[in-house]
Amino acid sequence: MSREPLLNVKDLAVRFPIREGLVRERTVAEVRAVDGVSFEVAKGEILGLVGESGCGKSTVARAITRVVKPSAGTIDFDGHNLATAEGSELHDLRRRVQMIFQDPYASLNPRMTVGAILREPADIYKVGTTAERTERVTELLELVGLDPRFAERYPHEFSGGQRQRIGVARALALNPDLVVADEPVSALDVSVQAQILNLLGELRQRLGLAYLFIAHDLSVVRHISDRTAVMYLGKIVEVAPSAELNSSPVHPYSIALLSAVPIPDPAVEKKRKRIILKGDVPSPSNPPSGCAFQTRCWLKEKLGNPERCNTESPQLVQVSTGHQVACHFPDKV
Amino acid sequence: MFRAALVDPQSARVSRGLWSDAARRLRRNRPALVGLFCITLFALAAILAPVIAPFDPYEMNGSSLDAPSLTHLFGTDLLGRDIFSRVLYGAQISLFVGVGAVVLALLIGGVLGAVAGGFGGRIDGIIMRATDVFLSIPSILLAIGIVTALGRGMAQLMFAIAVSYAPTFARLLRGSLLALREADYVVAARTIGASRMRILVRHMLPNALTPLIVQATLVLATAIIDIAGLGFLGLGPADPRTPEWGTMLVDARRFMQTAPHIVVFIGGAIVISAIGFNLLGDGLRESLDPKLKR
Amino acid sequence: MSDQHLLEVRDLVVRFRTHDGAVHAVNGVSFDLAAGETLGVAGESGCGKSVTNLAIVGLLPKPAGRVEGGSVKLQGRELTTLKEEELRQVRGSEIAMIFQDPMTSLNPVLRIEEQLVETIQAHREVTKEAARARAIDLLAAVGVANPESRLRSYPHEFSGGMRQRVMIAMALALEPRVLIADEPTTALDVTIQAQVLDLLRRLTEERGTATILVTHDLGVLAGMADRVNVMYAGAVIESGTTDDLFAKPRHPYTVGLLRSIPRLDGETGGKLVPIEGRPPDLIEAPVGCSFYARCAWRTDRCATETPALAPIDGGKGPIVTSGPAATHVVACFNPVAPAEVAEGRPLPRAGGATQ
Repeated sequence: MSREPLLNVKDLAVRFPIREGLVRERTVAEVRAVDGVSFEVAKGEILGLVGESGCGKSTVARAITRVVKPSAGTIDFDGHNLATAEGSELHDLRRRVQMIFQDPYASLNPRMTVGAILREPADIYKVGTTAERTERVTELLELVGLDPRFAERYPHEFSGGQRQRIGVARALALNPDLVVADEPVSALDVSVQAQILNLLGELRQRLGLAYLFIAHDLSVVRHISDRTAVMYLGKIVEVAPSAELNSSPVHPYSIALLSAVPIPDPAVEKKRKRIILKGDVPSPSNPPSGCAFQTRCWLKEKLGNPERCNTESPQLVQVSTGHQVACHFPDKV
Repeated sequence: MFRAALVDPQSARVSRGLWSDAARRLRRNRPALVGLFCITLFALAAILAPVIAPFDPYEMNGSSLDAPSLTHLFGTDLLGRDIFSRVLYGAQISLFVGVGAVVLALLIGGVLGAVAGGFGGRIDGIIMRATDVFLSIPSILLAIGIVTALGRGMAQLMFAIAVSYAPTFARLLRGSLLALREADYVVAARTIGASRMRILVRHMLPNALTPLIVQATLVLATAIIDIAGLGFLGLGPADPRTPEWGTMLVDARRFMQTAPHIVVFIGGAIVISAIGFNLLGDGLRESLDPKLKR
Repeated sequence: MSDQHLLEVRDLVVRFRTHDGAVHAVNGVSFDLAAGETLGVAGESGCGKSVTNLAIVGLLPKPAGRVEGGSVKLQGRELTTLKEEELRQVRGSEIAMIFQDPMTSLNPVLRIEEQLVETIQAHREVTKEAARARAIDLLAAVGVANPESRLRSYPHEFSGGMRQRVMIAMALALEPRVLIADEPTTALDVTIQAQVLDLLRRLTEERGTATILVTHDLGVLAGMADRVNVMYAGAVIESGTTDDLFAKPRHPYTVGLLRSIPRLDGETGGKLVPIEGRPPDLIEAPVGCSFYARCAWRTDRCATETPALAPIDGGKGPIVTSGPAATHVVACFNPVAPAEVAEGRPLPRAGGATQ
């Protein structure tokens, strides 16, 4: 795989103000949804982004697709800064960064035919003639394994899996370089999930796409992505090649997360040791001081609550090639 | 193509559009069908009044206060006019003024709501505060005020009712548009670079129309009652001889003891048409919502 | 089967009336539940797993859903013919339920205290003080910190995981004999799921509560269930102990489910073996095997005849329907051979009838 970087995110932050006041609104607090996130995606690479609800992974997706505007940081996409692009620069960049949504029932306009949905991107960017755009719809439907005759139908006539294929086809309509997939299979039944995962894998092979694949299901992320980044409370706590993250996780959160994923094999389940975390994720509007994970960290407890965890926010440091972790005590695990 | 197209036997049925799908569901909704029957009766009476009415509604065709008979199905009023013919022509007035008022209200409210919900910001604030003011006045009082100010007449009546319902439509459309702003397919349209105008017209408005259509049908029922109400209060059409249902009720009321059938026939006409639109509105709500589909 | 089980479900049939016709939601489901065991129910959305449970406790949405046949016996007492009043007594005190979304079962405008105390007092003759003390014990048992002060909270003041704990406390308040947990952790994050499952396992073991655990997550079942029923299109198509079922799945659908999910301890990349197509439309009465259209093991016979649950090896000895020695049964004319499981597709066999 080429290591040529396509996307380079540096210190990305997205903060949502909490406003109060009836007449004159003022900002009383802010939610730090994404709090200084850096990562890279190479051309043709799949980077998985996992984390639990509220960790900010979907906000990262929305910042990169510029559905929300980042508060700070840069998103370098092939030499352009997506974080600050506006007007026609942004319009041109949107063509190359596309998105697949979680809920196939909500992501397709119920009043448009599948054909109209799939030709809209070409209509907007005025690509080709009318006949060519119609031809492209057929091509896209075939690409995602659907009958081209489906173009005349409405979304409600399809099953969840078929709709998700249509969503994938729309994302591919403009031949993007990067596809941001936000929980693309979590709303689907398991047997259908496999169809979509296989499709995404095939499309990547065939079209040389890069994905930012966001999911809460570690098994799914591990299956499809080359590298995996783990997020907790707006920060990336560990990045590693997927197989390595699974076999030798370093961050205490990653270790607990991996141990909590059920494995469909009773023989394996009986032997596993679970690390059960205490309590809930703190609110991103009032994050703990020092390390974001310190309130639930089992390692901190084991080490006798070192002061450093309460005062200093750990930075991502390299522990081996391509494996970075944000913990003060990566060697104590 | 690297993968054989999925052949799915269950999707092989004929494609149905959303509207024909809704129509199919409406056909299975018994109350809505009853409503549709009432409305058809009402509309036929209105349209065919000149053909089927046995007598001129303005002329004396019998003696005063005749009981119902084969010649005068509903009997005659004080001036000997055929009540059946007058009820038919009254339907014409109610339908014309009612539909006109609702269409006008939809236009005014629709534009205001689309601007408020589609663009937001300061303009949204101004429009919504204005509708708040209008909505805090009971609609019938507002209509009375407008007719009193503009003088009696069909056009004034239509305008008065339209103004009193426009804020409802504006608020409804704005609400639907606001909810749609965060819908995934609207976000999806933004990520493929669609302009604000395109998103509003192609993605948001078509999906916000359903509740508006339902509401319009329900408002039509209330509008018919309001027209009769204004007529009853003496704010109906300028010509007192006009066979408007509310105006006719005023006269009929005086003979409630001696000739109660007059009130029953006129009141019945109002009730049937209002119930018709109410039932249809409820049926439409159920059948137009794609989310209620299995 | 004459041994009395705690819960006996026989040939349960449930239909839903819709504008498009009757939906054949549950088509003859039978199973037993012994005291203290955990029965897992697996299957994808629309397979009838939740409807079966709603039918058991008489909570089918009315008037659309109706039990049209079969019986449900709790300790020998028929539940399907009970009056609403009697059913309400059964629910809560004998069978309790936990749902995916705890907010649907908790009243948002009442404090937890009022809800818990009321539940206890509705079924048990105890003083308010005793009920309150019991409520505090329960909250402590499900791991709610400062139970006394938390009793004064409203449901929305709890996080999703905490709410599910409160739900479990409510469900176990009356020491029911049977607990039905319908996707209890589907809405929760994995680390919270681990907390809640751990709690559920501990409490049901301590109290000897028999549990029906419904989930689409085979991983959860592997760790929690003693036995598993796999459902498809409103019927149980395979049943056995968890060990048997995961080690030697025999129904093509079960094999498909297991082969289509990526495993954390599996290989990275590579292809999954999905089940092509989708479940049948339950509007039409099923003819033949309901999995026929999607099955790689199908034979001509499958198109016309509906296979019944039968023991794997031709039925030696009596069929055991519950407990750790339950017989592994499958509803298939052409079950998957052990060697084919890893492949996820049929291998050529001598004299085999696969297509």
